[in-house]
Amino acid sequence: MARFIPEAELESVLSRLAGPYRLYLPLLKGDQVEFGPWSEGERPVLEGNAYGAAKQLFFPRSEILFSFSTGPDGRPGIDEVGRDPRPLAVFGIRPCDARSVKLLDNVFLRQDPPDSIYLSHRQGSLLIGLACDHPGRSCFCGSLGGSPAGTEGLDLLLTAVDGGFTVDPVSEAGREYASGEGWPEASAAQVAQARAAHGAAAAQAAGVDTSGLAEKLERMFDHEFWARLHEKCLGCAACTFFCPTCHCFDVVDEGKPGSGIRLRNWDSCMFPLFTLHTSGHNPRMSGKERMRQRVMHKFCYYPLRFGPPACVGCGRCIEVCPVNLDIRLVLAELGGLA
Amino acid sequence: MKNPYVPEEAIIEEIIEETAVNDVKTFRVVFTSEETRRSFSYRPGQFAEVSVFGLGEAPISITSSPTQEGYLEFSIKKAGVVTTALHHAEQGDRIGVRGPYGNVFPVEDMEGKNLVFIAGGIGLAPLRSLFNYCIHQKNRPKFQSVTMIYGARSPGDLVFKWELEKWDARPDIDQYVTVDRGDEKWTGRVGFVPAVLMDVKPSPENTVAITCGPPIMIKFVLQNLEQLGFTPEQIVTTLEMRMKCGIGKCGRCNIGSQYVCMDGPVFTYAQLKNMPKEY
Repeated sequence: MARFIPEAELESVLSRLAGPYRLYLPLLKGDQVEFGPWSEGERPVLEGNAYGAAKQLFFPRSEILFSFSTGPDGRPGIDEVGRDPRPLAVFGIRPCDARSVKLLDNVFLRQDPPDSIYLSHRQGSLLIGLACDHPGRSCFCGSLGGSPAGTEGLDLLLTAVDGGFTVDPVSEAGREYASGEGWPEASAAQVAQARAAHGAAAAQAAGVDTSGLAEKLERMFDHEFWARLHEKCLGCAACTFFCPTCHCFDVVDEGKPGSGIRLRNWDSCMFPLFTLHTSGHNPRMSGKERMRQRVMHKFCYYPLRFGPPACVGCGRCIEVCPVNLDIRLVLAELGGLA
Repeated sequence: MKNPYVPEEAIIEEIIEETAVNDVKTFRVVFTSEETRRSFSYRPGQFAEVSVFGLGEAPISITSSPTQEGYLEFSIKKAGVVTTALHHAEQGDRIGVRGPYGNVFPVEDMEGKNLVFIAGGIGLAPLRSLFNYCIHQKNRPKFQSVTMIYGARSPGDLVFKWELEKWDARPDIDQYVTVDRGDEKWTGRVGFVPAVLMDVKPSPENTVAITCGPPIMIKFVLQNLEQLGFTPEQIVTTLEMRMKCGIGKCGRCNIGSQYVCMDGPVFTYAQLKNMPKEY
């Protein structure tokens, strides 16, 4: 049953969420929209998508794995980092970012052993999505099985309608939260308006046909296409840092011998050092191999292992690429190759 | 839930200098906690992440065999930041160890068969775990002939010399040790490992070949094994790869859809032929 939150009630809805949850939402920071922690009176930005993906709430760009010290007896001591025990709530997450969290779950939680640190952010989290009424110029979620009103990974889906938001419960946790809030039932007119918005947006977010792509790419490792594709790439890795599904990281120690912290930091397969062996051997020698890895991992290797492609069509890589390398065009060209 | 990135404390009990220029050392380490000593159960082929707190960690194959109880051995070439720090470590120093990680050599499939080990340089370290496992009194009867072909650039670069002598003395092991270039004191075989393999000419009949070494050696060993009639399914190798997490998360060791840290490091040549050439 769809419910309705009047626009004027939004502030109090957020305020109630912020008690039991660590509440994050899209906020205006400088001239960019970024996810940030909620504080009293802060208005979420409900137009467009956040500049950085919501993945950073579950998988921060830099995170302490543990800290270590050396006792007077020379023995190493290890301390786990204290974390806010409240679960995370993300308000206003777009359906593409919510889907990406499901894809990250496959890597961090479904492969043994589970990543306890990722789980500490994910466990009990409440994802309250907002349907896109105007997909951006780079959006193509419809090409990858998603949609501007997709519900995968969400607990609740909000859709902006006249005077407020309709609320569609998606998960059990979402249903429970909605009934606890006691929001009134949405009117037939409000539901109809939301459905119409979903349909109109879906038409704008389609584009490339990616069916059968994984199987095709499996046979294309040695194709001459890759030698051409990487030519204008600068190897800056912005695409991977903004990607909501990229999850490669480095593990480094900071401090001095015997005392400090062990961190994980986002890393990227677009960097030459990523695969460099200490011996000097590098399995991915040039931009050609690295670009091929990025495309292959998203559209062939990840699907072979987990099923869906590791791309949700958010279009951030297209927006941030300094040389206008457009993944939609790459996919279209791959689709056309024999 | 247990934080999988936190290593267990281990103490360096013994350090063996392996090579003439002292760039490879074998570290015998013992977990401080008796509970960990009991629970850390591994099989030949697996590796561990070895930590020097403040500098980082490195994935190192466990060179000891599960038949050697109570301790682990890592043979480490001085190469990067962590391994250099380990080379400066002394007996009694404490390090971190987490694991064991990765898959294992297909020991059950090898039972009843002839085994041919072909190793070059420090590549003997990962094979040594399996080799010592197979030649252990309680396991040796499960296998037919056991052959070791091992080579290094020079006599001074041969590792585990103290153990090669013991293996050589055993009548139930055929051992061929070679060097690329001898010196005035060297009276043994001179020649590249792939060439010695062709001299030894092991029959592929009911045989498994297990190989590890520098990429250039592997390349010619694989060619020569196929020439001798070995099928790709009969050839087993173990890969080296840049790794960080060791538990299938950080994405660094991916070859195609495989994670070397979880699906490897042990692969048959048949499997490698179906994977992208990115190792």
